[in-house]
Amino acid sequence: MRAPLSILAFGVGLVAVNQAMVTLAPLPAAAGLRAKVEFALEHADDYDVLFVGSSATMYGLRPEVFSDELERLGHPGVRALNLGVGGMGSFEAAHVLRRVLDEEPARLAWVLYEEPLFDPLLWYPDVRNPRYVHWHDARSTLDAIDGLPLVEAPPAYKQEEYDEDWLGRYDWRLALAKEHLDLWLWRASALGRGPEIVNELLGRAEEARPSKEDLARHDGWVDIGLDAQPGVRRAHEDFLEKGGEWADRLAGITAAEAEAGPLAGGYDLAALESLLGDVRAAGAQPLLYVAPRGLSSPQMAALDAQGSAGEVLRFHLPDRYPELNPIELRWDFSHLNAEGAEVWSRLFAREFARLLDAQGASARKR
Amino acid sequence: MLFVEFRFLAFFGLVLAVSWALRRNGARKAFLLLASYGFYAAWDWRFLGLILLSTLVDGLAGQQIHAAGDSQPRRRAWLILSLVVNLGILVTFKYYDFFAGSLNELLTWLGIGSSLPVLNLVLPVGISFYTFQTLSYSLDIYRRQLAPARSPLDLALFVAFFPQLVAGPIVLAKEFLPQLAARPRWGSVDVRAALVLFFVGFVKKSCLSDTLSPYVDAVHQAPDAVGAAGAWLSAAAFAAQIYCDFSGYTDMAIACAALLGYTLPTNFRAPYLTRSVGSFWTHWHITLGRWFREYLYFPLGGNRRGPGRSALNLFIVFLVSGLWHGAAWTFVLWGCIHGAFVALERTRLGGALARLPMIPALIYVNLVWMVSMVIFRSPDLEGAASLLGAMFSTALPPSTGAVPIPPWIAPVLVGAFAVHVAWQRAELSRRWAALPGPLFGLTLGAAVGLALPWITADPAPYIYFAF
Repeated sequence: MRAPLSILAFGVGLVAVNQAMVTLAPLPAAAGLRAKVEFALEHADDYDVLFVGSSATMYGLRPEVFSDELERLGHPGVRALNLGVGGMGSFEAAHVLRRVLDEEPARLAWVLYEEPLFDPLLWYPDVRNPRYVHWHDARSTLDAIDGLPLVEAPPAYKQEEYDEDWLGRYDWRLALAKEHLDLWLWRASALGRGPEIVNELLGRAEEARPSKEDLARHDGWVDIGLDAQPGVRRAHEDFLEKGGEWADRLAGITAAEAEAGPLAGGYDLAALESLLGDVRAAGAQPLLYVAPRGLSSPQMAALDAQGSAGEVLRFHLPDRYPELNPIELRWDFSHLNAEGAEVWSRLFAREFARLLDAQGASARKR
Repeated sequence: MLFVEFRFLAFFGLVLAVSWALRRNGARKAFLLLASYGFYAAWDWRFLGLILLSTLVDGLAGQQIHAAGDSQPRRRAWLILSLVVNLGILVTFKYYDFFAGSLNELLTWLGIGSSLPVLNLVLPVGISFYTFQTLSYSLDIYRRQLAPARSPLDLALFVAFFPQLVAGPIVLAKEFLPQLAARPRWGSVDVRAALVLFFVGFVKKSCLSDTLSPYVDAVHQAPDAVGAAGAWLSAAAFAAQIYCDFSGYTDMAIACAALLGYTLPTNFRAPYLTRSVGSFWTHWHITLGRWFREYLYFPLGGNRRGPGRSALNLFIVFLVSGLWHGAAWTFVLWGCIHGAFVALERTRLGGALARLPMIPALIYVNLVWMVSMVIFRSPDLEGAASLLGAMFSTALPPSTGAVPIPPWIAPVLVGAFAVHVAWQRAELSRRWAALPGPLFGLTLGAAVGLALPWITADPAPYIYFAF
């Protein structure tokens, strides 16, 4: 009897201390993730509308302009928070959103969610990077693994690595599933987070950017022109050099969208439905959109046509939203500048108001 | 396959379960031998042939030395065969390129063109360890201190036993072979003590050594990018790193063997708390010191031929010990420094050092160790000179490009010191293992939970694997 009791005690001690360590481990500071998520969790009850998406959302949607425009259109008093984070893909965004929804935000009425592609591939060479680790809770990990059969091929540069893996020899997806499980293990046990935890406890953690004051001032929007990250500058310089290609890119989007077929079996509809279900369970309504990132999105075109997720606002379509096309409104090929963000925010508010009016719905909880 | 990798934990769990499930000693030993070969093959299966060759030659030599009875020429001939084969393998794989390269440089410097071929051979993992073990077998039979192994299986398992195969402790045949005579009993295994020892070894290696390693590496890659403070901190960090790395590995090796029912010798006893360099070497890598004492120092005459010859013998032992650690002039110089200090301590100066109070004595030993380990760690003598220059310079580090000092290095160094002192001096392992079962389980679980965040993503190979 003593041995099982000792083993049980071992498990209790391990789980208790480990969970404390997991709680102490800070979110990755990169790309503003930590600052924005912590701000969103602290102010979960303050907002009616939440934008969730990538850097296109972070730099491109100005909540105060969005609210002003909504008020002008007969929907006053709406407060929106921009929860866009650079490089945030669908699984990471879903994880972040669920963390906010777990806080049971009292006012939240709408979740505006950017292009849910649910791509379970791990693109970065450094698989155990903090961004990948943090979103691999049990649910997101299982969702990602669930979606693997829908993916046709791994990133080309990883094909050889997967082929050489003992599991990958049977199917490269098994090697990828192993990577997801490995990331879950790293998250669940706070493996390798010791130095960060010590820095956090000693108050020497990397300063979270943007600051909470900046986030509060603009409700989460970040002016790309003031972002000091080297990558942001490089992209701008590249755009200034090759800006002439912008028109070709827009033409390419139109052509690609025209050829888009029906929603194929390769799209993870189950993950989307699960996410939409969670939003509704939290008492909010979901609305999907595609950001004007200078890229086509055939899957969202198909999803829009199918209608299972309601109307998808596809702001990337140059013919439908020509206001967003002028090159003067862009910082680089993927992002709008501050003026462009103002134009898109007003446009978004107008489209949102149109949908609200059509449904007889409100932007705020009644 | 490193002891700190999850795949090793899975491998060891399987070996543990199967080995205790096998009721016949022969089957159990055969299984452990296969597991050991599998463990080694996970590094590089090609070098299994060297282990087999070494085992075959020593098995044959041991039998023939024993069978030769009083025929000294025959006994000597078989011993020489064992020495030639074992040392021949070691010299070929570990030292040939070093000697050929050094000779080429010397002859070129003298103006005599020379181009001895450099083979660029890969160093088989653990070759220095298992070669010394197999040599101890032939030498002990020759010295009539050991009878040949009862079966080739016993000898093969002694040579290849996976817990100590690649980085020691260096086990002598006469202390391991008798343990293989009968199947161990699970009831006689002190499971708690073994678990604590494994955990402590794991923490030393994965949480402390691997955490310190990037800073030490960065400093040695750019010795000109640090000032005196950074260079001394790096020296202290490397002293902590190598202790945690090597003693951590041997702790885990001893613990794994204990869980399988076998006893391996202690390899470390708080070396940084010793008060002389000579004493240090009886507390650091104890089994290597023992091997050199038995099979080199004593045959050279030990201290039987007067103080001068004793000092010379000691110097030779440390010179060879330096070379054992690696085929480079840095290791030769490092061995010479230690040999010189140990020999010096046998003179009147040693008497004065022995009368030093504890703190100055500790400072003396640790200074010698830290400074000499800068040479040990450096890739070449130029790098060592740069870093030693920085340690004793008053110049400030460069304003740009300086290697930053990580803020967490202080707590990690304190942790390493605590492990070193508390575990070994206060016998905390024994006290911990003696706690009531559930309390032991709870505290071990909590300790594992506390250690997990310090495990690094990519464990560095053990420093001593390179030897």
